[in-house]
Amino acid sequence: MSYWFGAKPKLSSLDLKKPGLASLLVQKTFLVNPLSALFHVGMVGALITGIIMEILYFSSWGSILNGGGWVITWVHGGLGLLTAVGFMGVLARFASSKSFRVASGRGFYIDAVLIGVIVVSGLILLLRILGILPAASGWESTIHVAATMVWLLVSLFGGGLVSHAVGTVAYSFTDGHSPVALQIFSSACSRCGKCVEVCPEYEASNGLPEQAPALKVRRYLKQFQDSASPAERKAIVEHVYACALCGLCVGVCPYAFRHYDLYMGLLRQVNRTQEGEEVRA
Amino acid sequence: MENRSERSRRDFLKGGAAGLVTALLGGVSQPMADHSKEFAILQDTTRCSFCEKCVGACEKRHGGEHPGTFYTQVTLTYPQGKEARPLPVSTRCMHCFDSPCTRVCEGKALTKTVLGAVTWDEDRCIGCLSCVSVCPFPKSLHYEPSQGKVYKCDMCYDRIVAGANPACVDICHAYGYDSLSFGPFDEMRELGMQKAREINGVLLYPGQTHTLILFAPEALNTTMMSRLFGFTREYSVETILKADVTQVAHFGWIPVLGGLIYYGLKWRKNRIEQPPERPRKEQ
Repeated sequence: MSYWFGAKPKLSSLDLKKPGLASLLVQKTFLVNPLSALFHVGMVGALITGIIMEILYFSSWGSILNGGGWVITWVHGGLGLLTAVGFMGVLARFASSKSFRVASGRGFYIDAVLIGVIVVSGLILLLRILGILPAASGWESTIHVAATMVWLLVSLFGGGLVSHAVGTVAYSFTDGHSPVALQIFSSACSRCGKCVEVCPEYEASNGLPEQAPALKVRRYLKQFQDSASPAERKAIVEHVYACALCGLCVGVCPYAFRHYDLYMGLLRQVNRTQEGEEVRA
Repeated sequence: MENRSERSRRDFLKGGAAGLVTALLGGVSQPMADHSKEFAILQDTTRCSFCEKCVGACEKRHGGEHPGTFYTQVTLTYPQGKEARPLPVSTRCMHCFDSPCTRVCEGKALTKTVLGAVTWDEDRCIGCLSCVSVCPFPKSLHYEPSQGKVYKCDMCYDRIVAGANPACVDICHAYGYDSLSFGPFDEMRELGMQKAREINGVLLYPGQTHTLILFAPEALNTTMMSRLFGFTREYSVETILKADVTQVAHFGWIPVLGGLIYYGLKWRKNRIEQPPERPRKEQ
């Protein structure tokens, strides 16, 4: 089994507590990999400076910057450059780690294409702002704004990086096992693929993607909610229930998410609706 | 005249492709019908002697604090053929009626004033280059990386409000030339049309910009003009489309914000059952 950049997953105790927001944003991001840190700092910073520029566009507060507004543009460009470098790391991880590919699913391609468009158009703008390329007319400014807005919306509902970011912040305010928290985790999951690496069920099924914990959490939860009839629900739950409840995924999950809580919750609900009584775990 | 057909073609394309979204947003800056309060600069390239006095006046007027940030530059080019006279064109902001730059400006630094001039506020400019990317006339905006800002002609707005001519026009007259002239838009347009009829030349964009440029017939080599000045005989539809797309994209925060709220509500709605509480030791 191949591990990303040779780093083996560290199994912690099953009593691992749900990390707080600071731990998720700093410890789980910065200490994992320098490129991961670059990507997160660049992306968050570029979004914040971009939002400031949007506020300037819709307000008349530009004059309070007293001529210093160009600093925002240059900082936005510099952070965008960090994002571009970090994004190279994300692509490298996608290419090198099978577990990351399995956990990401095909939604990764939507993110990759749209971020690629944003990064390339932004890089051309950055070269123009630095005076390396001549300041001339082109489509890159229009594409940069339009692609960013499209990416924010598509990635949020397509289960991409935006839903991961929004979900991570929301998950840190939950207790980690309430019904809402189970919902939120299916968005927050960072698709790191560590649970896939350690899952014995996934190993035993010869790498069947449906048995990957990260996919079960997202795919089965969605299918369960979309399917109307109890029979369909029960079929899904039977798939889910292939889990051996070993809990290794919980040990390696950066969110310390208790996957089996979700599986047991689904099973419990379908049995309650069918038979009108609880099934003991 | 032939320019009328150009204008109607552009209006048709704009009405079909780009103007639709603009109309949905409330028709942001439609060309003004009444031009009685507006002013225009008329430039007769056949009378220009390439003395570059207007460049010096512009530099004195605008570029004092930051050298290199004056806006008028006279470009000299040589048309095909040995007999042809070298063609000097003073390139500066064309002050479009339907100015794309004012619609995409991130810092609200560019304004289309009632006098026709597109003015510019240095304090508000954040140097995002949005205006440069949509400008139909590439030489009319000057980005200065050392200042991090875009500089452009504002038709010497404080001077024309006070009733004076722009600095370049005054210096042109002071040295006894009549290449540049300034006045009410209708007068300048009539004057330009009359001159164009006399020499059988062409007045560039008489109904689309507040800077009117008169070309002699021998200078109408479109390839040369587009290569050296970025001018084309046809006012660019592409830049209007770019401005409209950018303007609509800026309103993308409304669906994004709505999507975030809907997403949060979905979390609460699609809840599953509370899992049974178990002692952790039993795992």
